[in-house]
Amino acid sequence: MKRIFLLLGFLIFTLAISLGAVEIPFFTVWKIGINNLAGAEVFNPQWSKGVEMIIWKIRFPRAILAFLTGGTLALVGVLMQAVTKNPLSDPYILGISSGASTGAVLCMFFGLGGLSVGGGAFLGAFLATILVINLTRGDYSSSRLVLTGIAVSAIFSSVTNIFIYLVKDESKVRNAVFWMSGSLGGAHWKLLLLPSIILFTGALLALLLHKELDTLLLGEAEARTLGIDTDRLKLVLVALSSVLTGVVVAISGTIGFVGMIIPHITRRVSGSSHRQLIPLVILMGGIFMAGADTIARIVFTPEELPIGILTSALGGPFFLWIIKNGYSFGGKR
Amino acid sequence: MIRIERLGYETEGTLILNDISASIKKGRFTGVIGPNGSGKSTLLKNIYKTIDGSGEIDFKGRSLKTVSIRELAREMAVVSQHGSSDFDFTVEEIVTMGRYPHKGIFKNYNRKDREIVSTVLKKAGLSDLCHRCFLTLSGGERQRVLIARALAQEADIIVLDEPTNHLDISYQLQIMEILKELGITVVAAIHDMNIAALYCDDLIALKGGRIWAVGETEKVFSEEFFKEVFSVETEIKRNSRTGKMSITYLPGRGGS
Repeated sequence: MKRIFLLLGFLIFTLAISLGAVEIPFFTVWKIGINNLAGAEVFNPQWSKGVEMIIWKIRFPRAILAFLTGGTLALVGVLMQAVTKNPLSDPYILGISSGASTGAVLCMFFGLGGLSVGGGAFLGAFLATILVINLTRGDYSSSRLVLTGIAVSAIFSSVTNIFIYLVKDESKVRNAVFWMSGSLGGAHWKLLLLPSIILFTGALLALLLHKELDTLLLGEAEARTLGIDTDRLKLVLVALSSVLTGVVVAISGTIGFVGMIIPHITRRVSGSSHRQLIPLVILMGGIFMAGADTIARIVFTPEELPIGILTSALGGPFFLWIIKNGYSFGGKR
Repeated sequence: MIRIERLGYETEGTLILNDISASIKKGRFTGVIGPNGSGKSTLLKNIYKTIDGSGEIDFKGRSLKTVSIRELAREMAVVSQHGSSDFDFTVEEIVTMGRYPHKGIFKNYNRKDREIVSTVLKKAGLSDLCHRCFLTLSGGERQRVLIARALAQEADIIVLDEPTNHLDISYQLQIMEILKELGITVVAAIHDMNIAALYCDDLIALKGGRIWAVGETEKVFSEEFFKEVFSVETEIKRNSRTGKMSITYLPGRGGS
């Protein structure tokens, strides 16, 4: 079963690189890829320097960034859903992305104490998560959670908008607005290092905690009677989610709903058990994001649609559909 | 095994438990009984340490306060009623979670754990359901799954916080039989007095957050007892086939 998804991932990855304003044949993509990876001309180049440049310098990093971003957001969704015991939780719906945005924008405009944009985004995400958790006071019913998310999101967005309004530097403002609606357009090789390390470490930690995450889904009281210090575990999970969200938002802006849609679909294949769920959800998140980004790039060529708009266009109706059909940690059996 | 001394518990200015002293003996089935709101569940929660009252609880010669929840989970299994809502694990996955207290973060469930899980599934009569999804089970089956998980913990003592409420009588009896056969220490909140008479060795009877009576079931139960604690007229006879007390309620004859 997993092999099918790995194959699908490979196909979408290649397709994401091959499609665009300039279409490049499937095999050429990998010939260029292998040549550059090997640092030698394994295949005789029958393509122009310009094509090689587009493929290796622009589309490869962008496709990888799409996989990293999608995988990270889906993973954060899984973690937040375990913390809140609610399958609707998603960094965007809970207002965590909004918090990260505010942190990042403030750093971008003022360079707060030398904080990098990523650090600011992390602090914003952490603050927003703590706020949501404290305001819901352990009542993680969907209505309460979603309403709190809306409020927290509104507060942070207004703060961001006030600063965008006050700051007169137009290029900074245009930057901030473009990036707030989410885009993978800034991808280049060097940019990939941080999100790769963060996703890899985050996935490893989450996998190490797979038994704890499972038990947490039974409920906090039950997890405690099984010997889990739930307060400490939740703090670890919240911190981890904040780091992951912060890094993704700092690089790609706010991209909504991926953290809710992907875990929901993945659980139908893997079941709720986190050991199977976590690796698959990261892969599926990546596939989804790379596919969505490809559509965002080609549908209105030469104009490019910000990816956040596309995921919201898909995610909004999906969200409604889940609410209408009853949401649950749907399993395979 | 457990000695409770002068336990009190107060929440939002209301005294829920007051001056509770009792003990739970090793290998015996202790029932906690009393009218609604008498503090049964609160007493049990103090014992399984999800809430913390005043006074002392001694667990196997140590103060319960000094026992970490991890250690406690290896020695005490809890089946509680605050059930789970949305999750969708299989029966086997849920029962396997009972092995958690014996594992560290880096250790995964191994063959020994799987053997234990399959043994307790058999004991609870769940072998055929082991790959079924928990959400598709009936109330009685779910309750048996939670009992099986408690058994998988291999604890010396099982605490049941109103586990058999709203179950069909056949399931209630089934669960009681499973527990009785184990021969380990059991503490359970029980509503059905005939079930208490059939299965409990000892009773802790509460009323209004205070101890009304403690001791062997045969000595606690009497027609006066039911009148005083539950305000119900009863007739107690000995059943010739079970050899146990059998309580018949006599409505409309006094009480309040």
